[in-house]
Amino acid sequence: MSELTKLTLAGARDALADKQITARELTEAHLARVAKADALNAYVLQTPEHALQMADASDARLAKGEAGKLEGIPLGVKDLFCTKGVRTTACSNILGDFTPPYESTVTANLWADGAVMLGKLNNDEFAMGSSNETSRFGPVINPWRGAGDSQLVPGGSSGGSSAAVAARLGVAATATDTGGSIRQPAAFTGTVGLKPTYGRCSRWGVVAFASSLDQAGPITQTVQDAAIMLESMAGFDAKDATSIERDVPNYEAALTGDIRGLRVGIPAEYRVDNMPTEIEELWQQGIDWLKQAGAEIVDVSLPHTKYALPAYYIIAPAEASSNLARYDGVRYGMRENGADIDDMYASTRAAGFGDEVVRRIMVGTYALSAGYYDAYYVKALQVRRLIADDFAKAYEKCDVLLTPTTPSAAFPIGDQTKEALQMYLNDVFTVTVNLAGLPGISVPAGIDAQGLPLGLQLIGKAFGEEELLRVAGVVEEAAGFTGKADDWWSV
Amino acid sequence: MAINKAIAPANGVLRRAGGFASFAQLFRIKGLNMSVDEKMALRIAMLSRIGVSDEQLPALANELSAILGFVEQLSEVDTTDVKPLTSAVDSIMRMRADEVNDGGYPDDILKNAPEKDDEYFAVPKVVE
Repeated sequence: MSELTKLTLAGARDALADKQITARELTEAHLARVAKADALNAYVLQTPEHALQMADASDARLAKGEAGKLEGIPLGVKDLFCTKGVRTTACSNILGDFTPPYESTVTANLWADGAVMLGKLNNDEFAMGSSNETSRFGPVINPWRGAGDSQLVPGGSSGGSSAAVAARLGVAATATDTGGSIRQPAAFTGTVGLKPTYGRCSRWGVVAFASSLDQAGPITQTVQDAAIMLESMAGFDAKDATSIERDVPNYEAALTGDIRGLRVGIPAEYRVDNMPTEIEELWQQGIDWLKQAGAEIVDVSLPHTKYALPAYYIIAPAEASSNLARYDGVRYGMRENGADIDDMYASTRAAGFGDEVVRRIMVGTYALSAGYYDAYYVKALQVRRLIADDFAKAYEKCDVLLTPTTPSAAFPIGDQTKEALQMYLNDVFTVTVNLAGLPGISVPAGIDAQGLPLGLQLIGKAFGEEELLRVAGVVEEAAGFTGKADDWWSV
Repeated sequence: MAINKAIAPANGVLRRAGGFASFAQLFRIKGLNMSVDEKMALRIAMLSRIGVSDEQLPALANELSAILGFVEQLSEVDTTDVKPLTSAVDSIMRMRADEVNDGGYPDDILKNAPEKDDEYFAVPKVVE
């Protein structure tokens, strides 16, 4: 592996600023690695010419002393972000070869700061999944392998992003999180995944799944890298009605390592039945690390945790059924002709949507239909308030929460595809955060008996990203996670 | 739109049955325990504008029943007087000036259309 692809974002930024390397060299090194990584299926579209053009422009700006915050940093972009003139499909057949004539606000922010796009990353179709197995382009393979070199999922829905960062097929990646889609894949690949507060990053130009839950964020190698990425991605955007008008702080400056006196809440309800001992031990280890760093550990209760997944599986499908009504074969994407216009809609949607997407649209349509609306949808929104209130009450006693990110390490490809409900349980620790609109981060904190990475999750107060990143930095430092997947996939 | 009209009477009946208590009651009386039968699966597919074949219906009905059975846990929660939460972050809808600030590029808008005619999206004949 080239030394250039071992660099963290912060390391690459500093090397570029010191003129030790050029943006072109850095981009070429990553492109060369991406070209060898077809076995992982992380990229669904490579844009090498585009990347080199951007890298050259970065070198010109670096030479003139006009470098942006991410000048010359090569990134992968989840295929949920619309990229001007570059095919964007949400990994669904229904979008065909859709080529947006506009750029999402988040990616526009990254390019404005000088970042370089290497290509588009695989994800579960419309971000619906926890294993990246529902993509029209096929599953992504985790660079980490299980016993007997078995192939594992990289988590989902941002599985292309997590696999790419873990395999160094990009310095960092953009991702999105509706129920855990940034944090769970990060935990499965030994990377850092940050889901910001709802409203922190603009949703404009991001293919919508469940709009009251969707939030963009980064997957990176380190906590410091996550801070740098977030600062560029975040910000007010008038084009997103739920974007919050609030200054973007210097997140990197928040990483002081000093958490003395900070109150860390441990929610009793996250001790679920049949949790593997390794996960429980890691959690206890995390508690000890924070205690040693001078934090105060507080027991808290989030009594409605158990109802988060059922509420989510009403709210998210309901919003999806509404959002995905736009795919009708008329304005963009694929069309399947029919006898009349109704037949065209039904044929197009039957041919274009995969099984999991069909299931969720139908559950959502059912929950929103007359007669069932109050029983399902309104009930779920009421439970959502109780879940948000649980957090508000817990935060009277503590500043951040510490939990495991996932109930298990990465599992084998095909292992959980037979039962939709089994797959849904992956998000048991992450989904509460989306329902309450809070920020959450997964930090690689240990390995299991098979040698696979495990993550710890920290949950912050709304717009408490600085504090969240500071604590995450302490966990990262204490864990000293240096594990790397080997390059078995490289041809 | 014919589909919507066809189900309107059924909606009316269910809506008159009212809130959650009577909904649960309705299912208990029928002994369905929240399960979705093939007829219901077909109706949901039609409402969703997704074509399904007869062969797909039994599996779909089973999957939907399993998911709805799972979310049924919510009925354990006492939500009396709880206001539904529609937005996770407190924010007030911003007003903006009522003026045209975007547009005027029909070529861009039509670029990805599966079928177009001059400056229009083309679809199968709608009106007889």
